[in-house]
Amino acid sequence: MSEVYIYTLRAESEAALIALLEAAQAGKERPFVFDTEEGKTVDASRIVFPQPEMTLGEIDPETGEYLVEPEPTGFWLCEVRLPEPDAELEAITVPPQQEDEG
Amino acid sequence: MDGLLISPGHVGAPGIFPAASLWWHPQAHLALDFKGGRYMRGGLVLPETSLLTTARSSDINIPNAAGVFQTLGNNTLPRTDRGLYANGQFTNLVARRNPTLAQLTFTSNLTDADGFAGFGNSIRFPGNYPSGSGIGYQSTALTSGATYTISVLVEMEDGNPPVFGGAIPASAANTFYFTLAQSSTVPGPLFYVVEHIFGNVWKVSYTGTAGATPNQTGVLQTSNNQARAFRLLGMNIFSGSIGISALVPGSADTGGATLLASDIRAVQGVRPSNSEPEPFAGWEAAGLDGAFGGKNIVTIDRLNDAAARFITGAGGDANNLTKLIFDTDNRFKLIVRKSGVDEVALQTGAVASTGDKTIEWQAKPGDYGIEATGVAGDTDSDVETLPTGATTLRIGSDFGALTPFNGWLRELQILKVAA
Repeated sequence: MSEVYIYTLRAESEAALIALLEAAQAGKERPFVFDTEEGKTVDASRIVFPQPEMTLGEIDPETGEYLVEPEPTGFWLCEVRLPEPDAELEAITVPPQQEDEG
Repeated sequence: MDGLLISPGHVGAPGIFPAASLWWHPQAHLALDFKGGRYMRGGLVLPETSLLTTARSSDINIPNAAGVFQTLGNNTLPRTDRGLYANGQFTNLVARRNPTLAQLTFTSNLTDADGFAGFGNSIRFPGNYPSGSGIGYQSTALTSGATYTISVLVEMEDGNPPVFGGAIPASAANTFYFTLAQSSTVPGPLFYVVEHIFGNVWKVSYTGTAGATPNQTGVLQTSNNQARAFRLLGMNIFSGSIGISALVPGSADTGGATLLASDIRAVQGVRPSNSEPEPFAGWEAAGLDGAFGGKNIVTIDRLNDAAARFITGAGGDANNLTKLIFDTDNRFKLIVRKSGVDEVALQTGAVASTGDKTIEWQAKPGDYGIEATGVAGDTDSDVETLPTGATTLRIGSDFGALTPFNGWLRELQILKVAA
C-alpha cells in the first residue's frame, strides 16, 4: 500500500469548502470538484464528502448512552487523501479534531 | 437489428483476431474478464496494469469466491476472483467494524469466539436465553428519522441460512433482528437482505429508519426468536439504503471510517508494435469512434436502488458519452448523451430477479440495440451519431466517480461493429 497524504479542510459552509477545493485545483491535471446536473460534487475517489463538523459528545462507558450528545459546530469539514503531497492543500489544512481524553 | 446484437462478419483486420475458441468474442477490441483475471486488447493478452487504472485513496476490503475478505491497497483494482467490485464512497458510522465483546458499548448474554472469513474474532449469540436476551450494541450518532443500512456477517452453527419472515422483530419467524437507535418502525421481512457468502456464512443487511436512542444500535436475539446459535462478525452502518459487499473500518479502526470510491478507467494501452504507452486515442484508431458494441456480465444482487448504477461508458465527460446503466426501474439502458442531452435512450424490460446478467448492446447510428438475460430490449434506427473524441472508457462509475455500480462486474468486452 502506498503512502497517503491527508489534508483536512474546514470552512463556514459547504459552498465555502467547495470554493477552497476549486482554488486548490487550479492548474492541476485532475480536478477536485466536478460539475453535475445536481450541482457541484467532489472527486469521491480522493475526497471524503463534505460534512458538518460535530462535537465529540460524551458516552457513558457503562451503559453506552450519551451523557452529552454530539452537536453541529456550524462549520463544514472534508478530508482530501492524495498519493503525493500538495502544497496548496498543505497551506490551508487544519489539524484533525482532537480526541477527548475526558 | 436481427437476433444477436453483434453478428459475425464484422470482424476487423485479418489476422488480428484469434480463433473463436479463445475466451473473448471474435469482434472484441478490448476484453476484460474480471472474474478470471484475464485481459486482452487488440488481440494481445496483456497484464491488468497495462489496460486499467484505478484511483482510490483508501484501502478496500472485499471477499473472494471462497468468502475470505481480501485487503486491497490504495489505487489498486478492487478485484478478487468474484469479479470487480465497483464501489462508491461509504462511511461506516460505528466505531468498530469487527468488535470484540469488550469493544461493544452494551452487551448481554454474549461471549467472544473465534473469527471466520479472514478475521480473527467474532461474537457468539447462544440462541437460548433462560434469562433476558442476546444483545450486542455499538453506540452511534444517527439522525432520528433518517434512513440507514446495517450489515453484518453471521456464521450459523446449524449450517442453515438465517431467516427473517416475521413482521414483528421478536417473533419465531426471525433468527434475530436489528435495531437502529431503537428504530421507531417495525422491521418487516422485506427490509432484510440475506446473501450467502460461503459455507455456513451469510451476510445480512437491513434498511430502516433510525429512532432517537443512539446507544441501542446493533443486533438482538430474544427468547421469542429462533433458538439458533450464531457467531457475528463485522458491523457496518451506512447512510442510505445500500448494503455493500465491502467491509469498511470504523472510526476507531486502522484505515479510518470512510471507504473512498474506486475510480476505474481504461485510459491507456500498449502499442502492440513497440510497447510504447499510448493515450486512449486508441479508441479512434481502433475504429470505435463512430460505432461500437459491448457485452457485459454483471451480478445484480439487489433491485430497486434509489440511484442509477453506471456499468460502463466511453466519452469525454459526464455530458458527452455513450453509457450503459442499470436504472432505478431495474432496466438496463443504453444512452447516448451529447452536450448534456440524452439524444438516444434504449432500454430492456424490467429485470425481475437477481443473479448474473449478460447484456449485449450496440451503439451504431441507424442500428442501435440492447438486450439482456431474460429480458428483451429496444432497437432504434435513429441516425444520431455518437459523441466524438472519447478520452476515457469508464468502468463502474461515471466521470467524477458518480453513480457507482456498487456491485460485482464480471466481464466487459468492447466490440467492433461496422460503422
